[in-house]
Amino acid sequence: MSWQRLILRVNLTTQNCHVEPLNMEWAQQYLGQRGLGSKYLLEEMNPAADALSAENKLIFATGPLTGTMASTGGRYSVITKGALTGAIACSNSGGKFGAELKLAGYDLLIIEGQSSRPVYLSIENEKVELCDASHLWGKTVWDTEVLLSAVDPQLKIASIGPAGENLCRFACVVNDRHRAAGRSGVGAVMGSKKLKAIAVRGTRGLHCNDNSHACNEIFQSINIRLTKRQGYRRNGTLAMMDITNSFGSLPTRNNQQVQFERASEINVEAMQTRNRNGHTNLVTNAACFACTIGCGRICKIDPAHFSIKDKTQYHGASGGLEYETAYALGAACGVADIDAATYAGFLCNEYGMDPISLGGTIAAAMEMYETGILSDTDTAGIKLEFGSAEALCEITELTAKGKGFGQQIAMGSKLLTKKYGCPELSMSVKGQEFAAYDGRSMQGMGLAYATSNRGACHLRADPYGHDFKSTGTGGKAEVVKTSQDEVAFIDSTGLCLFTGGSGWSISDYCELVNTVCEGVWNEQRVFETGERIWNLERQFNLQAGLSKKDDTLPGRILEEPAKSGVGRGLVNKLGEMLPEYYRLRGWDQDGRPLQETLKRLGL
Amino acid sequence: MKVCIKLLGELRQYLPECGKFNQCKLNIPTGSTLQKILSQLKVPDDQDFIVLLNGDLMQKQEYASIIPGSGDEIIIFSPIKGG
Ligand code: SF4
Repeated sequence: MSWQRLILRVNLTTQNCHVEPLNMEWAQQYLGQRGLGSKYLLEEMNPAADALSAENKLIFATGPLTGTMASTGGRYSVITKGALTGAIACSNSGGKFGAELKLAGYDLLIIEGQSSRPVYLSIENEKVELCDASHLWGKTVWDTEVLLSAVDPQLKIASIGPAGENLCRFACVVNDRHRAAGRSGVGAVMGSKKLKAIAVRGTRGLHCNDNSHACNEIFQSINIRLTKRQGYRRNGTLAMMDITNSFGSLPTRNNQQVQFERASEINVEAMQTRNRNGHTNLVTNAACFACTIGCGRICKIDPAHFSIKDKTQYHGASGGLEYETAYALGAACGVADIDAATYAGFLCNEYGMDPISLGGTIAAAMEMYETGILSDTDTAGIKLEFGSAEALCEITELTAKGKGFGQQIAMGSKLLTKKYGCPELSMSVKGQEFAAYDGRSMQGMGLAYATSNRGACHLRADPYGHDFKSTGTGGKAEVVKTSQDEVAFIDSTGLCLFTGGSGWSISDYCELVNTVCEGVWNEQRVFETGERIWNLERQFNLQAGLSKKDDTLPGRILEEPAKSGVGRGLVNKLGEMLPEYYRLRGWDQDGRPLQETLKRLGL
Repeated sequence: MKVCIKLLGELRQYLPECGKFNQCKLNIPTGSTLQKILSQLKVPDDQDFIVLLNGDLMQKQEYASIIPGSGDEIIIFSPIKGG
């Protein structure tokens, strides 16, 4: 069956690696990836421990469909206590690394303790070794991949860049050059453990079920259902830019506005149209392991652009703007320069930073600069004005390298604004910066941000369709709660969430999981499993010291009406939705799961 | 009279031939309802979509009664998830 039934445990303090059996009872309750990784995390560590201490654990988790030929079946998640948030973190990535880890024979890789010197983990099926990484420390993700690939070009590599080494609070783990477990600072946790990289070669294969021929036929017949909608392949996620900008939910200049008057310079059309030098930003699309959707963008910066004209190493094509990156490094900072945003995005991949939190923090700093809270002395002369592509590129370089005012940006917007006495300027929840949706015209998204277990996030619920049809609060609590459970399940399978927007429904996920897992997985079990995972994550957060007071939104979203768009005049009415949400969750008025809820879910 | 039609995201493929990238000026008889205008576009019936008229969100039940004016902007998109 498609669990390998093995865990690889690596203790960095003792430098000991060993293999142990997967707890199959837990696998039946939490499936894999996000769910199972979170279960192990809560069972094995004290949630109140410091995220950057040896007590924190770092779990790389695959799902039962990771490594199979089910479309998008290459996902893995990094689960830990987040360095940015102090809450449970679970960051999901594609590329090829996750499938390789699974094919090396492991469902989960649990990393514990802290090494006294830089190391990297080498895995070749059953041969596992911690190796000296002093020659890699200080190197970028891209250089690390080149150096390790020189040993064996077949290796798949996940690593941190200088941002993770420097404990930048929003450092991420990058694999396959430009795929990242991006959010919540999982890369800083890896950096605190002095683990530079994990290099995997896996050839042990997978045993899907007793009849692998029939199994592949089932995958093929379900994969074909994804051809119905081609939007992600043609336009990438950047297609969302015109939608949110028209609707009035594109956070602009640190959420001071909800529409960006120059969005047409950083949208799909801008990416696909030749500029005056005859150059298009978009080169081609790209797909992760086994993916038949291919939403990824491979892009090229205009070689004449100021950001790279003297830096030939950036003249080639690499991972380009997704919608979230274009928002954070574009509209959020008021920057309408697609090449500058692409360059800042390249640096995020190369140095290992989450572009959403980077852009959100720069946007907060720009507002601080424009309102006089930050001076030229603070920024060492950088004119951090909204709209300045030069300032965006310069401050991104400094943050990536941990230099100058970049060291302050690396704290994230919550700590930065607190330090300068203006916490209201941090557009974040639980310390994590907003994604690319404003919670005033999209009430459900506001509730999703406020209640997300990993801090503000657009991928922890699916209120999109409901929000674009209604700006009221009616029905939002139900939509958010139900979709949070559904997403928690999909995040535990090894599949990509975008399959949901490309044609798959719950019955398709059930059919796929039933093909490779023991037990009967039906719709009821999907939602029950998702709800169990959600409540488990909530328990982690409560034990970490978070509470109802953290299920909130910045004052700007709750008190300052949106100035334009479909939601003009509206604030987010969280106070109306949250009690209903808690009730639907089976939690008390303070957001604590009731005993009967925990009992029902077997927690 | 003419109205401006914008088909966003994956709906762009249904843009009438006169259009460029994702928008076009569509000639319609004066007095046409929103419903009538939408039916001229080739968006399939089973496609879920959302309509903004001059930046305002239109509800499905209004399509048959709303009559856009000359130069009005009609934006049509289907909900996707971001990333
Ligand atoms: S849809 Fe996009 S993110 Fe998801 S697996 Fe495919 S290429 Fe990767």
